[in-house]
Amino acid sequence: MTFAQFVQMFANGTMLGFQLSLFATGLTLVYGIMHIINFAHGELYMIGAFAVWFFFEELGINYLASLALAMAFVASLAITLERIFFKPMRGYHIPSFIMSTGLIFVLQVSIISFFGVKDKGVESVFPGLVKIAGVTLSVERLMIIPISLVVIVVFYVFLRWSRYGRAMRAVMQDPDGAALQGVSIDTVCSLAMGIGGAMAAAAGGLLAPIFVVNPFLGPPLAWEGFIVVCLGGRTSLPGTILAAFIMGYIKSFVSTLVDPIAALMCAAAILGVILIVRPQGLLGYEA
Amino acid sequence: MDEPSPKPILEIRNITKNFGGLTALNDVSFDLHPGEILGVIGPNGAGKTTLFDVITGRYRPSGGKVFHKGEDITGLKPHQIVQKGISRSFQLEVLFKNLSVFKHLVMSRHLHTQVGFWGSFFRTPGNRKEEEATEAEALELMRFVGLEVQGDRLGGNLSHGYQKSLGIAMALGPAPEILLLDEPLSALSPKRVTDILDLIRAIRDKGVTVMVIEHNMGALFRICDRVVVLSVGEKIAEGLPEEIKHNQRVIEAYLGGAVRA
Amino acid sequence: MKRRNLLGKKVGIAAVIVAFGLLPVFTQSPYWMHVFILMWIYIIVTASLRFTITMGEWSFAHVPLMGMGGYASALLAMKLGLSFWVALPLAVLITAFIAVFVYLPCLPTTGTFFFFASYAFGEVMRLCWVRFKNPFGGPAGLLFIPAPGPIRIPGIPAIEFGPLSKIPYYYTVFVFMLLSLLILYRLEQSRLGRIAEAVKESNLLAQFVGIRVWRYKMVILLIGSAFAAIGGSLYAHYTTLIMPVDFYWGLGIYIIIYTVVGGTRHFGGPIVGVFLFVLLRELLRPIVMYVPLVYGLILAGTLVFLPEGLISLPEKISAWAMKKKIAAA
Repeated sequence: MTFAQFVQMFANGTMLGFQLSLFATGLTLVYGIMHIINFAHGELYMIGAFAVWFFFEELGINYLASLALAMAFVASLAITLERIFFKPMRGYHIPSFIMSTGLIFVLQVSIISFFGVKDKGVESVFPGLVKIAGVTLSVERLMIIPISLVVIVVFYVFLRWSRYGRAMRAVMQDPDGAALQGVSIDTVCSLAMGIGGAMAAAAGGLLAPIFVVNPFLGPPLAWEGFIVVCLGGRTSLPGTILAAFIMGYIKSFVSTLVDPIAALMCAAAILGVILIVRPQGLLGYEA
Repeated sequence: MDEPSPKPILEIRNITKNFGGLTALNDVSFDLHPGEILGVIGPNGAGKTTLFDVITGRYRPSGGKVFHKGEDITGLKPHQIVQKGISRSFQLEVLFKNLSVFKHLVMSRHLHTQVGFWGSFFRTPGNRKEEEATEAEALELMRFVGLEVQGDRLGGNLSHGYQKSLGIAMALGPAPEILLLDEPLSALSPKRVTDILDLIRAIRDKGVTVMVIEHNMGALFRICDRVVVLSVGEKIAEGLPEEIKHNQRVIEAYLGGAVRA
Repeated sequence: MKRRNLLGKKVGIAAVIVAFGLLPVFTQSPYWMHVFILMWIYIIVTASLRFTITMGEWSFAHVPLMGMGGYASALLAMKLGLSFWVALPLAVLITAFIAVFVYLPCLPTTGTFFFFASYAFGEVMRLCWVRFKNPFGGPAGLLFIPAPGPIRIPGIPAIEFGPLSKIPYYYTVFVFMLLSLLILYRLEQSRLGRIAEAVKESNLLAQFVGIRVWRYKMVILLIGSAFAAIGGSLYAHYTTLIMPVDFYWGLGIYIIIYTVVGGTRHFGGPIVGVFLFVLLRELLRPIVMYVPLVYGLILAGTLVFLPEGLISLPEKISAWAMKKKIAAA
C-alpha cells in the first residue's frame, strides 16, 4: 500500500463517514424516539437524490437551493408517512420493519412510474481537482465534508438548545416520556421523522453529483445505516456518528485492499457480532 | 438451634452475589431441613428474590455454594435444578399469557411426561395413554389449588389471586421435593391470604419442603416452622418465629427500612 | 357439532388436494405449470418459516438456508454426479449442519436481536457464494444443474424429467409439498409443538418447568432449515440455475410478507398468504410494474387492520355479525 493509496482510501472513508452520519442520524432519531426500524429511510435518501436531480437538472434551480428544496420536500413526505403508517407501529420493532419494507416497494414503484428506471446523472457542481500531500482528489468529493458538517452542526445546535430539541433528547433518554414538559409526543415523533428525512435527503443530494441517481439506491444504504445504528448504540447520536466513520473507513479500506464483497461481509459480520456480544452498541446506555 | 436437627436437604453456604458494583447478597448461609416450612423475610431490597434466583440457577453466585442432599448444585441451569426436584414460583406473574390454565398445568408436567418424540409424532396408542395420564394429573393439580372452574381461561385473563394460585400450581407440576415460593401472599385480600396459607400447609403435609419469601411477617408467622431474616443482602437473624418477633436487630431493620422507604 | 366440523374440514382439504392433483388433466400449459410449481416450493419454505416462528423467534436466515439447500444439492449433482434423489437428502443434512453454525451464535439473543443477528450470519453465508467462484460460481451462480433422474416403476414406462414436459416436476414438487406440510403439521401437534408454544409465551417460565429452552429452540430452527433446504433443492433442480441474488433478503421479505399477511397463528395462514400473492401477481401481470406497490399496500393494510392475518378474517366477520345480532336483539 503506497502513501497515495492510503490518502485516497482515507479521503473516501471520510466521505462515506459523512454520508453515513447524515443518513443514520435520522434512523437513530426515529428508533430512539418511536422505537421503530424504518428501512424506508433508504427511499428517503433516494427520493432526496431524485429531487435534487429534478430541481437542479430539470428546472435549473441553483444547486444549494435545490438541496434545500429537496430537504423540505422529503421532510414533509417523511412526516406524512409517519402520520399514516408508523403511528400504529410505535414500539413494535419487527412489525415496523416489515411495514417499512412494504413502503420501500410503494416508494420505489412511485419513483419508477414518474422517472423510469434509467440512471440519472447530476452535473458536477464543484468541478476541478486539488492536490493534497501529492495525491489528486476531486473538489466535488471534498465539498461533501463542509456541507455535511454544516448540516450536522445545525442539527446538533437545534437538539441542544431549542425547546423541541431538548424534548427529543429527553424522550430518547427516558422512554416513558416523563421528562416531556408540555410537548406532545406526536409532535416530537413527526419532528424526528421530518428531521431524519431532511438529513437523508441532504445525503442523497450531496452524493447525487458523484454517483448516479436511480430508484434502487435505497435498500443497500438502509442496511448500512441500520448496521451503523446498531454499532453506535441505537439511541446514542454521538455513537451513531462514531460508528458511521468506523463503517466508512472499513468499507473504503477493505474494498480497496481486499474486494467490495469482503467489505459487505465485514459489515454483516459486524452487525451479527455487535447484536450478540454488545447489544447496547459502542456508546449506548440501554441495558 | 441446640437440638440436633436432621440432615439438611438444602445447604446455603456463604452465598454472595454482586451486580456490577452492587452487592445484592453478602455471605448468606443457612440450612433447609426436610419437611419444614422455612420463612425468608426482610424489607424490600434485602436480596430475597436474588437468593431464589441463585438457588434455582437463574443467576450464578459470585461466591459461595449451594448443596442439595450433600451434592454441589451451584451454577446448574434452571432445568437441571428442576430435575433435582427443586421448583419455584415467581413474585410477579410469570405466566404463559395466551395458554389456558389447563394447558399451563399440562406443560408443568413436562418433566414427568415420558412421551418420546416419535411416539407423539405418530400418535401411538402408548403415547395417547400417556397423554391422558398427564391430563388427569393436570386436572388433579387444578383441583388441589382450587382452580378447577378456571380451566379454560387464558393465563393472561385471570385475576391477580388466581394468577398466584396458578403460579404455585405450575411450581408443583414437576412434583418437587423442595418448593420455593416467592411472595405468594403479596397484594391479596385477607380471605385469599388464608386460602393460600392453607394451601401451603397442605403442600407441606404432602411431604414437600417449603421455603417461602414474604415481605409481610404477620401472615407468614402463622405457618412457619423457622424464619431466616435478610436485610440489605445479609442474614441478620435465624430462629423460631417467637424469637424473631422479639429480636432487636430485626425490629430495627424493619423500622429502619420503613423509615427509609 | 365439533366433530362434524372437523369432518367437513377434512373433506374440504381432501377435495382441494385432489383438485390440485388433477390440475394437469385440465391444463398442461407450461406457463401455469410453472406458476404452480413455484407456488408449491414457496409453500414449503413459508410453512417451515412459520414453524420456526411458533417458538417465538423470527429467523431472517431462512431464505439463505433455502439457498444453501439449493447450492448443496446442485453441487453434489454437478461435482460428484449424484442423482437428485440422493443429492436432496444429503443437501438437507448439509444445510442442517451449516444452520447449526448460523443459529448457534444467535441463540442467546431474542426478538429483534435474534432476527437481525440471524440475518447477519445468513448474509455472510450468502456473500460467500458471491465471493468464492470455486465452487459456488460467483455472482453468476450455478448453471446447467442436472434435472432429476427418471423414476422407474416396474410395469409402466419410466418417468423422465426434462424440458419437454413440466408434469413430472409438477407432481414431484406437489408430493414433496404435501409430505412436508403433513410432517410440519404433525410436528406442531406433537409434544414439540406444545413446547414451542410454551417457549414462545414465556422463555423464563418454560425453563422453570424443566424445558431446555436452548436445545428446543435449536431443534426447531434446524427442522425449519431442513424444510427450507428441501425447497431450495427442488428450486435448483427445477430451474436448473441458481444465483446468490435469488436468495437476497428481498425474497426473505416476500416470504415473511406471505406469512404475516396469511397469519402466523394458524397453520394454514402461510398457505393462504402464498396463494393470494402468487395468484395476485398473475392477475396483475398486465401492470406487473405495480405489483410491489399492491403488495406493499396489502401488507400495510393487513398490519394495521388485521394484525392476525387474513386467516383470521372469517373469525373476525362472524364475531362482528354476532355483535350486530346481539345489538339488534
